[in-house]
Amino acid sequence: MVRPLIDNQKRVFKVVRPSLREPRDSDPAISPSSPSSRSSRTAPSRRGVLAGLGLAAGGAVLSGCASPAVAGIVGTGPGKDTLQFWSLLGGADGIVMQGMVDQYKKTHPNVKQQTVTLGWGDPYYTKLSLAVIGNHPPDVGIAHLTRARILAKAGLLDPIAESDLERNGLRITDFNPVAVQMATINGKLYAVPLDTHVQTVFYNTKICKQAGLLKPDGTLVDLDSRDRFTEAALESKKVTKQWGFGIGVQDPVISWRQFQGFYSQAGGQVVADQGTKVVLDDDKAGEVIDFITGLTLHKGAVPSTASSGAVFNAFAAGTLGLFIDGDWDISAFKAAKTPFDMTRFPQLFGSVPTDYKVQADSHSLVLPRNSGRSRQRLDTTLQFIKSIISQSLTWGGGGHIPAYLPTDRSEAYKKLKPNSNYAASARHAAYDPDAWYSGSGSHFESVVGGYLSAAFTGQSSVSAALKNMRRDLNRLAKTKSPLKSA
Amino acid sequence: MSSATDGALAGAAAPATASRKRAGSTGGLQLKSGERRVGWALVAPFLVLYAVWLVGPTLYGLVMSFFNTSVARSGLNGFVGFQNYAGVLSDPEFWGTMWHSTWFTIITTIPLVILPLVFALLTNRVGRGQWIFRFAFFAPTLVPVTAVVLIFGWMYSANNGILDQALAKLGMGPGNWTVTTGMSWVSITILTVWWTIGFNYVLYLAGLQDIPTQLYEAAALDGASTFQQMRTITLPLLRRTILLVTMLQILASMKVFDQIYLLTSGGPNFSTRPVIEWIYDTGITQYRTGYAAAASIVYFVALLVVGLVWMLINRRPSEED
Amino acid sequence: MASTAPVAMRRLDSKTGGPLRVKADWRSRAFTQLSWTVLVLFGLIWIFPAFWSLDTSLRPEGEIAAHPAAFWSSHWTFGAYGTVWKNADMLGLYVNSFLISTLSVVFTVAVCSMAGFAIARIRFRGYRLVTGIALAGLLIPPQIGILPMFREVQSMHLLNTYWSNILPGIAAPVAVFVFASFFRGLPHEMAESARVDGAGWFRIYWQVYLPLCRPAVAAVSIFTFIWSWNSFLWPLLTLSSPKVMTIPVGLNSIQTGFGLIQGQIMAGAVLGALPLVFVFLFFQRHIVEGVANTGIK
Repeated sequence: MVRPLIDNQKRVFKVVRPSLREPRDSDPAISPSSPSSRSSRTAPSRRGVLAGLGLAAGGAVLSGCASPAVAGIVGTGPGKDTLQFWSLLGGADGIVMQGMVDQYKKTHPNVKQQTVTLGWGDPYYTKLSLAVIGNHPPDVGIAHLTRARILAKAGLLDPIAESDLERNGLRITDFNPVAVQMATINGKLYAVPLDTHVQTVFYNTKICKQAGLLKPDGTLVDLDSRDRFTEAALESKKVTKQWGFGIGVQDPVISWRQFQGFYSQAGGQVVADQGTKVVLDDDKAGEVIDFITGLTLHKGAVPSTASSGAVFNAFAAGTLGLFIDGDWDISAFKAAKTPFDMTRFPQLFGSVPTDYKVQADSHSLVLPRNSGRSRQRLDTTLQFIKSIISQSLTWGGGGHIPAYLPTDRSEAYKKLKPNSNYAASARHAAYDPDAWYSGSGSHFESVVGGYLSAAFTGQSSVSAALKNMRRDLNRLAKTKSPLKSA
Repeated sequence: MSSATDGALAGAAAPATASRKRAGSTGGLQLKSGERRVGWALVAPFLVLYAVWLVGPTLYGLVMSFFNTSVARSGLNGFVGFQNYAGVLSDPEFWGTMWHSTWFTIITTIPLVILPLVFALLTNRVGRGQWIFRFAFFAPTLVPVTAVVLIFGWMYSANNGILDQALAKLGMGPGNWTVTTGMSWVSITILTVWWTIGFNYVLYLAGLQDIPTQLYEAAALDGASTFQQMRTITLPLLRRTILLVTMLQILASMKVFDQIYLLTSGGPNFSTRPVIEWIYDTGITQYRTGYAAAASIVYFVALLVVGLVWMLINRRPSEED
Repeated sequence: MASTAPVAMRRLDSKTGGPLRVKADWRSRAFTQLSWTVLVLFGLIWIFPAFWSLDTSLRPEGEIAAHPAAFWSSHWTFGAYGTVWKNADMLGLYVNSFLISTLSVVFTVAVCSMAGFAIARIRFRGYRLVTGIALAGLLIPPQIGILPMFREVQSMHLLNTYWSNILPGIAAPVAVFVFASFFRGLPHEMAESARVDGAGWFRIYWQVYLPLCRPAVAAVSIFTFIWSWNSFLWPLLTLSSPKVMTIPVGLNSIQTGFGLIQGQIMAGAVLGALPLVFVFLFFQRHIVEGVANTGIK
């Protein structure tokens, strides 16, 4: 073999060694000065460069960006002059919330307010945690109640005293007690619930009428039994010639939501004792999974091969008769001018009407931990929360059921259709299990939902799904909680 | 091959030997004993920062991996012995993500070793206008990853994206670019190749430039064709560069986080989540910092093994020289 | 052995041309033509994403929605840029990124060139130990340290400051080796004569050697700047306050955060990409050489 590397080496070396390098005019950046000036012991150009950089940096600081740059260099606590509000709401919800914040700004012109919206789910909660840990918490943030509980147990939220609420015109008894209970840990309130958002039935009035699924008053027939549910799905399928009941069973989280609703109706619980004990009931869970699998794989009543997006699009386009999804789809279907109405998530399990449950969570407003929060600042923040809560009717228009009872009970809300059709669901909310690894958008939902989805779509057997769920749950239950309290 | 990378990054031991040799021949200065301190003074800032920001975290990470440390709590929180390690080693999720990182390494290293080599060989043929290609292939490396993902996310987007639009023109269905696991890997790979090809391309160009022109001249006089020249001169002489690029690429790919986190968040259903994202999810999002620290150590040991294997492969031929 | 001189501040020469000035026969010419064709084709593919994002960012939103794949617009507009600039505080992101990267460069060059000079030129007791320590540092991937480093930064109360993104990167072993090998390539007689003139070591380093190693300074500065400018995971963890976010982290939050629509998202991407690409246009050779000489990615 040739040994060119050595020649090569020399050649490179010659080029490289600065003292031997020929000056090149074509290369002003590397050798801006002449060779003679380089061999002298001063290096004005290099210094010039450094000085230039320094000047540029200094210039940037001075040119009107002084305060953030200073904040970056010396580090400051949370901004003193601005009321910071963090949100994870995107899409239609985000637009409605922005309108409500704008309304607050109009009524409180003396407060400087800033909204920061971050990616939904884990990215948001991670950033919120990091902001508190990093001592730059926002004044107020949105959190799902299932996640607020975890944040509170991690010591990342400040409790809200009833007296402080009352001083600012809010009474805790004015909120949906189911949500308030979720927001309370060891007798302390950690969140002000804004709404309850539930799974609901959307139905296309035109298709359902054709399929004979409407009562004389124009509302959907009773679906509250497994037979009637299946039958309705098949009747509607006859009209659309495509799908019966649209449920996004390919999506893990959507699968989890349906399961959690039905399984709770059957009286089942997944984990207990703050998530340290797996109490999954194979019989009850198996019955629920069997039922849905029957719909998807055997009776063709629910499409198993369509993605959740495809089902959603079909309903929006008016080619699907029946659809189960979160109440927040209202805005999209209204925008798409779909002829639709809504009713509550059906009761297919349990023996008496009081067994009724529906998977739900609530948006709430929380106070991220901030030891330096003055009373005045607390009041400003609570006034902001009050302003948002008092606009609950606007918020409810986006589909979510207001947690603020004065709104929930108001005539205006009762007239808000189709929202008020399912508003009673909020009292029967089945939240995700109380555990450090659970909650909306959590890994738990995706993992457990993944096994459910696999069974619903025929990729795994019912028994395998149960076995996998149990295995993963056992693992999580055995893991010591990383939270401060439980 | 003689770049600093060669010695410094990869063939770790080489510069040490080199400097020892050199010190004997050139450092013939008589130092007064008091001035020895100057040496220490000059390296002191480096050593302090090194201790605080490299040694410190590594040791602290090692300690943490034996505790139930949580990012939401102060202190180490309860010694658990090897429990974290036992947990990590038997955690299917961890090994799943290790495999995802490995799979990513396989599917990106191959194109990222071959394509830039081809581009560099071709660029070397082109006399004028090389800078245009250097610009085209290297500029993407300078684009922040978030911008890269925003741009590709738009091209990949369902129905409205330019790629789906093009497919529709050809009468084909949507590409499901980030919908299925298989297509997600394809999308991630395309993005990664586009974004990072510039580094390897430039390393190859540098390697090609080190090959003495005389060799080609001699070969041409002997009547060797272009392909013969490439086979007998270019590729053998580029061997070290190719090895170097391969190794750097493997190490870089095993560390993948940014573009996958941003493009698919590890989805669909965690099927593309790389190990660094798992460590981030577990250690930060789920607050299980001690457990994730143990996983980091396991991952580090795995990388070290890869590095050692490479050194073994690379050692032998270079000792012959 | 090749690595006797890890120095190698090479130039990638485009002007003197490749090996192919020698007697090109027709096959060789044909091959060159083919090279051109293939390269131009791939070059266009490589440029396309940039072109497409620029194109989208300049078209009105209505047109994008109606004809997502149309290249031409009858109403080109900079409107999206205005919205993004205002809503996403791009200027703030630029300032943060620029200050963090610049300060990183200044500190890295200062600290690592001193250390490199010491281990290359001063035969003090323990230089071998220092070399060994620095080498060991090359083996530790920074990713394994993110969790403990986060705790460290947290306990120092440096979260949400620039320092959390400057200090951890300064002691870069690679930079030390780049400097050390460069200093070794310089004639040692310079130091000797300076010593005879009575100059102290620091002066020798600062006034004699450092000014001569501009290519090494350039290489280290360039890779430090690029690395710092584009790093994502660490600032994602440590800069949660919008006030101090860098471009990669800030762009990530505008993507979801401001209810932006497609044209504006692309405008954000273009604005995020612009500074370094623009700089690259002017310092292309420097940057390419810097990367080739340090091999950092």
